[in-house]
Amino acid sequence: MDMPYIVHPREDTGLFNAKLGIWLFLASEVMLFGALFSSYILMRIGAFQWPQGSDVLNVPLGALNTVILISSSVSMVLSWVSLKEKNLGKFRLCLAVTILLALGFMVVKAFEYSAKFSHHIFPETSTYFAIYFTLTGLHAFHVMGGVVVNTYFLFPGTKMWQTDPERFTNRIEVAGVYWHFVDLVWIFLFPILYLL
Amino acid sequence: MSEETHHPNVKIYYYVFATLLTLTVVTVLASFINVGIALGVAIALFIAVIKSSLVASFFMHLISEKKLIYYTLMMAGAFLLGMFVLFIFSYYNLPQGAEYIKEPAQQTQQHHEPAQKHTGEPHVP
Repeated sequence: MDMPYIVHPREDTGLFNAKLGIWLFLASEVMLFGALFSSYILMRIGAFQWPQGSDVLNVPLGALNTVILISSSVSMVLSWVSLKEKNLGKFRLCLAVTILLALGFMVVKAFEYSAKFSHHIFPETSTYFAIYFTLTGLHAFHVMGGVVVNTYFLFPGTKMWQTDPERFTNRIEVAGVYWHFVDLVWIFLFPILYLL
Repeated sequence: MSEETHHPNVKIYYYVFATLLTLTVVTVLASFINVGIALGVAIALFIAVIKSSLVASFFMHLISEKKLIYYTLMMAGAFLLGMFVLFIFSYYNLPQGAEYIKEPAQQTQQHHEPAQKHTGEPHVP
């Protein structure tokens, strides 16, 4: 017997399993990042000295990464639209662009980190850099998680399109919801760490 | 599934994209205006909330999602708010007689240690 509601939504909730699952997961993610944002606020209001983000970090690189992540969100949603239009070629192109943009984000982040390390700036340097490395490091792990999932759907995972296209489309929608959340977190990280 | 899910409107995604890029530029430009830390934080967070609302509403389809998703997120939001409040309250929860350092200690500079190393740590006289 097949598992129910993996493709079609349950009548009372109007949701298929994966949709509810991803939102429950994101609710837990809200708490994870929320705890760190709370720590940021507490440490900042308790500090007698707190550096201006733009004095110690590279704002153009941070802004570039913001544009990269926003663009990747658009390509991600377009990959889902492509499946709705039953255009597998366009889906592959859009998802590949999403993955490349995510890798571009990681390259920029690697440049930023290596610049800090070369100046002997580490998490132990100050409370500011401790929370900077923790927040951006955790966010970078989430970006890499998205890259792994999307790469799976771009190559081996695409096989499902031949056998169960609707379920595959649902999977891409759910992967997209996760990816947009990663973008959403960065939208808050950029101003609080780089600008304020 | 929602109406929007059946008939995705591609144009709206491009409009949201353009708005997000514009707001990113506005965020950076606004940070150069010297309005004080409190107003600066308020402006930056206000723009961030607008941007995140656009992402959540259109890219994540929250604008036309089912009630159960809204309830899940409301619960997460309530816990998040509670956690924020608890964290802020803990700011005042210091041992008796302790206080936060408001000025860099004199000897810190004499020993040429980076002053930031001591940020945010309560000081017990």
